[in-house]
Amino acid sequence: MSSRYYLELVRAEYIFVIAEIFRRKSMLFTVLIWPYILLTFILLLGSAMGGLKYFQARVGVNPVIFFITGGFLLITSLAFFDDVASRFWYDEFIGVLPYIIMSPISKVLLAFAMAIPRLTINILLGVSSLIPVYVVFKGVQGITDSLIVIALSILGALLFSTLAMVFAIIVLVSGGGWRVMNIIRPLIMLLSGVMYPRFILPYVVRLISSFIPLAHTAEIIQVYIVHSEITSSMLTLLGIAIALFIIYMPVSIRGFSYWELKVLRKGVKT
Amino acid sequence: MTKTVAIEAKGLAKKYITKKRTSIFKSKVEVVEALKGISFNVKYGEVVGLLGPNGAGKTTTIKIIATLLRPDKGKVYIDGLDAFSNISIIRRKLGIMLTVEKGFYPRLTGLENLEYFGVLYGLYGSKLKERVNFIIKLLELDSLNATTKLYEEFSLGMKARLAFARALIHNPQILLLDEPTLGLDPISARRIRSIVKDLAHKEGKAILYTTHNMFEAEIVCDRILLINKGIIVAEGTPEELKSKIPKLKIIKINIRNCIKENVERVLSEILGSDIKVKVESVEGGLKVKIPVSKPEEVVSLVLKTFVKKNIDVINLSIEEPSLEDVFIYFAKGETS
Repeated sequence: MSSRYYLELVRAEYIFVIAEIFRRKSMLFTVLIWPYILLTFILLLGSAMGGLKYFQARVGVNPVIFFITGGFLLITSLAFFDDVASRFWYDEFIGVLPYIIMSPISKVLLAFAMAIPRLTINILLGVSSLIPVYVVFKGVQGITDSLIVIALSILGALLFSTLAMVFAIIVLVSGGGWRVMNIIRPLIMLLSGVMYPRFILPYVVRLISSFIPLAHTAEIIQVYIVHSEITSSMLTLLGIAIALFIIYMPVSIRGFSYWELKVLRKGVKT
Repeated sequence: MTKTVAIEAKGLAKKYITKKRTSIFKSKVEVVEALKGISFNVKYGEVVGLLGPNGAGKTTTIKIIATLLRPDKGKVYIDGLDAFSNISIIRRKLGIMLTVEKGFYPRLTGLENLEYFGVLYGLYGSKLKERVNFIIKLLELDSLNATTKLYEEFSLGMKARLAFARALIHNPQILLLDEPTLGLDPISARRIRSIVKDLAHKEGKAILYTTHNMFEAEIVCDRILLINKGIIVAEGTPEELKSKIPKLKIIKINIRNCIKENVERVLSEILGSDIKVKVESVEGGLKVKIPVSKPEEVVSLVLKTFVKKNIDVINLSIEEPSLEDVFIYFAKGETS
């Protein structure tokens, strides 16, 4: 498959996602408003738990920055899981799946293409929501910091993509749709430690989370927003995340083959 | 010239196993045998109709050939290649049209949908544009504004044309069309039938066409496979199938100036009691119906006798059995 063809595939996916968002006003509104809803929620929750200063003293960073970064990283990283799991499920619901299955394209490549448009939109939203907050709290330095955080989040999302595909396949194979997604999503949130410092997790959970690439990139970002510098421990964590990304790759490829085989045994719904 | 075999199905069998809940803790396993070892082939340049009642196994057959369902037993060969062992090669050769009423992204326009599926089949750039434009013209999609309208605003006729367009997007040599005119208005249905015939006869494509519309099967298909309860019960051209039904040609004669009982007596004298003749009173005379297998011999005998007996014949016609008669005959399992 040529790179030109893959770009065309991604372009086709962009058209689909843009149509789904811009031609559905409720969806467009939700996409635009979510960072602000999240921020309000975080501030309200934070002040109820004991105030900003207490958090800053323990974690070393302003909670607004911490949580908005965590929220952005989570939404960006979930793009692969959400898009792949919900999209094939949606395709089955609207009767498109037989044509997707019948097309000669590799389903793994298609799955990767599916997530890219939503990932891009999330990044754009991250730029519009993260940069102003960082500038308010960190001044001019906030621009550099927020851009590095955005770059690390994209990297985190990409490194998490192969495991996210495995999770998506679990949803597809189980046939549970939204119900199973709603179990896996909070599990990812809990185990990856994107919304709180990883050191507060119990040992067993921390051990399990070490198998999730997102947990390592989340830790890199958390360390960066505290110290505003790249350290050697961050590179080690990055190395682990890359290794996990590679390890999960054949699992996700085989997973797609297994899912397709299961669909063919049962018969694709028309 | 002998035609090359495009699709070859050998002993296809498929069972569906479903669980039906009978109470909170109990469920009952139900096995439905959709196909019981059917074999057939489709050659390039012909339209083969798969005709059968609801639940006969038509869609199951189409799905298996399309590599969308694995059979329990049997093999499918496409251009001589085992379909399930060469899945990615085979899928490029097939174009499929399943249910007419859905199967596209509702928020995309007709054109965007076509381009999307074109990309999935490996088309892009100028090749994709050329092919999409060609198909839009072929199926007159632009005249219906199907290219600019969102799919969710489409009428059933437009949806069918778009589904047909998608089946043709990568110019496949083999087409699998599952009831493509179901629920369509006569104009859309006629348009699709005409294109299907042209694709087979002018472009040499192999087409497997399922329907339970007898009229359609008769005018579209070169060969028909009658399927019932997972078995192919008869196979042949429409004419061959009709000839397989004994004593089904009906001689219809309208006569006047005659008493019903007299006509019945005359006919029983010349035809004997084996042929069950019907004589009905109609406005201005009588209508006689004689079911026979070889009408030519009977017509001459009956006419000669009527002339001798001074019975006035107004008109005479021979009614051939319709494909519907054939279908009902085999569907009831009368051959057994």
